[in-house]
Amino acid sequence: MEPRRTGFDAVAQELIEPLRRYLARRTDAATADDVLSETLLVAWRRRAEMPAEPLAWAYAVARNCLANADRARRRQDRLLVRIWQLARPPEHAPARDDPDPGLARALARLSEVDAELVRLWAWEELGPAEIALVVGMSANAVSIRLHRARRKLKSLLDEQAEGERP
Amino acid sequence: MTDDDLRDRMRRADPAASLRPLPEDEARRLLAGAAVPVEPRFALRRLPVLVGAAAVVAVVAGVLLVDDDGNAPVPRSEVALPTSTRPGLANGSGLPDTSGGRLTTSVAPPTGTTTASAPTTTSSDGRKTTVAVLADAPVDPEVRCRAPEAAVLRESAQMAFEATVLKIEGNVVTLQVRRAWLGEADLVEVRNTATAPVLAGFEPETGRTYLVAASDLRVMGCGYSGPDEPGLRAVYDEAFPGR
Repeated sequence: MEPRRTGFDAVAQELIEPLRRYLARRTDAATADDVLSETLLVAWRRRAEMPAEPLAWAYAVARNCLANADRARRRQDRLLVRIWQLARPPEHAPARDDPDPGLARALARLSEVDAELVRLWAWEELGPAEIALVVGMSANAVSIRLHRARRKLKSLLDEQAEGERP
Repeated sequence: MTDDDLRDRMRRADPAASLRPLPEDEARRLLAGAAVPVEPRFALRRLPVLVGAAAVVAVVAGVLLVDDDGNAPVPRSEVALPTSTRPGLANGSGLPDTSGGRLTTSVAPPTGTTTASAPTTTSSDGRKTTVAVLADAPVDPEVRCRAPEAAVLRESAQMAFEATVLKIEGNVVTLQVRRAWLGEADLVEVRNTATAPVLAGFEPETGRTYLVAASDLRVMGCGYSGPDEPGLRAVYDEAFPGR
């Protein structure tokens, strides 16, 4: 006998892969695993609030869990720095195997919120109303800010391209 | 550059593009509602105590129990507290075999709240067979767990073994131990508080191999025991390296 499949389990099963991708895009593999477990636990605890279309809601839960994990890690880093006088690596240093370091550099020059709006639009393929749910802004504000963020990102990428031209 | 160009470039750099889907058993384990409340001593310092206005969350024994009504949570009571506090498995009393060659245990079958017993040893034809009797309970769908962690397994388990189901009779599953990371037993009987045989939330199958951990002679749920699958085995290997 398999553990009984509840309504939540059936919905959560569908959320696992999108949540894994969401986390893989934003943190290292070990943290992603931890935060995924935490996200499912929190989602289950708050399952009464889960809307009929739960994806954006689930991203919002994951975003909060990831922010908590990041805060905990920063506290730990500060302690390490105090003890060992070690410097943390820059927040947005592109990974060595980053397929597009230029894009990573350009994204890092946006504000964190603007970069997240662009990621949610391009990678999670969410519309402004869904992005609004994830980041806790109005859909109207998201539309305006996303438009500006994309424009700025394109401009930064164009600048890079200009600079690389012989 | 158009919006579509930008999106295409972003997608080409998607860090999740090479992410492989989670194997089904790991996804199932992530969602596993299976849980037998286990000792609270290891859980309290590992899990955050979550207290909300609408629902009070109790951290008990490595699992979170949530009362839907927002009432004070009450630990599920399907599993009786063990009557034995003996840690781990040692060989039994070594009393002379009176079984006539049959496999026996020196303890009476569990009744009422007595669901676990210390291991005993019988001998037959010069061979010693150490038998442990463990208790198990049906899955509680209201209990949810974190994914199993090697550190928790290492700290909490007093028995950890790989075993194959020999037979299933009534609510008793008899396991032949193939490899023990912790504890000693040749045969393990898992007695369930339900009328049907259940092993760590799964329907046991004769001949199938399971990884089973026990704390105070109770099968550890919450994904710490179950069919022998790579994800669970990795947790055991990490918890007990070199054994």
